[in-house]
Amino acid sequence: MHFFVFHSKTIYIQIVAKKQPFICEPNIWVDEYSDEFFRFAIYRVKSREVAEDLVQETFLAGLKSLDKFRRDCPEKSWLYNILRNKIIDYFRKKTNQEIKRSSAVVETDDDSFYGQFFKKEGQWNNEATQENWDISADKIMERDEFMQFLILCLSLLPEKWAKVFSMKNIDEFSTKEICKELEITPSNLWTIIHRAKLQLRGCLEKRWHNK
Amino acid sequence: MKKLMYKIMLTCKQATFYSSVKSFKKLKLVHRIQLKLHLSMCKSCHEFDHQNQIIDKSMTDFYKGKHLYSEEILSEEKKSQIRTTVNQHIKG
Repeated sequence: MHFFVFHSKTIYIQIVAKKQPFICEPNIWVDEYSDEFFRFAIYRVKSREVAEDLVQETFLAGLKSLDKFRRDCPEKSWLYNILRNKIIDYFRKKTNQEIKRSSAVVETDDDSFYGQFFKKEGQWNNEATQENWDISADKIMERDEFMQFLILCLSLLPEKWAKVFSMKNIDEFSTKEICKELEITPSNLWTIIHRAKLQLRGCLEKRWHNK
Repeated sequence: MKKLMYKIMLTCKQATFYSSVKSFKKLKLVHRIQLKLHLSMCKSCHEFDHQNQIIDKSMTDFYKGKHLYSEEILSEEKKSQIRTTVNQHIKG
């Protein structure tokens, strides 16, 4: 028994889930979570009204999909997930036009995608050379602004690409689990990560660093 | 000698690949060394690698919900309004 517990995260989760499933109590949501969610949202969207709406929408979306609550994680994390997606959606809507343009670029074939960054021989394009960003972790204002643009740039990635990062960071999925979920091969996954990083970095360079 | 150099040295495209995926998987020793070698000689890729770390760190912060600097709270008025809406949906 212990052998399995230590060697397989999934089995472990199943055992825990069977013993004590997490419960969901919508009655306490507003009192328990609304302030924290509001802070989380306002820090990112910078607007009181938008943040208020996002919190409310999160609770309503949670109620609507109660049957999808899998009881293998606390309701708070589950609701946080919904809120995070709402924030990304908000930025996506805000920049709807740009997405159309950028996804056209992003979904092109290998050569024209990498051609934006590299020469044929694999060296950097002159236009794509890297500059020092000079950002420090302790300067809060600087990071604050950087985060805004990071979320904006994340929202401009194709959904599947952004999902890779949320699965890795939120669910702490292994790469094997990510591949299974998205139905891709490991080498597909590495390519997605490589492209996403190039794209994110380029987007941040353009919008945040050179603005 | 030149041929050997080409075999050992990564191109910038390859170097950015290893730099990008290394937070997802442990690289083979030979790739780690190749990457280190390339980064020590190529300024652009060195910057890319550094920026990559900033992006990774900030992304984790975003997804994990850290950096809640704001002291803001919801107004009681708005809160009770949300409460009413949510309660309506629970009943309905």
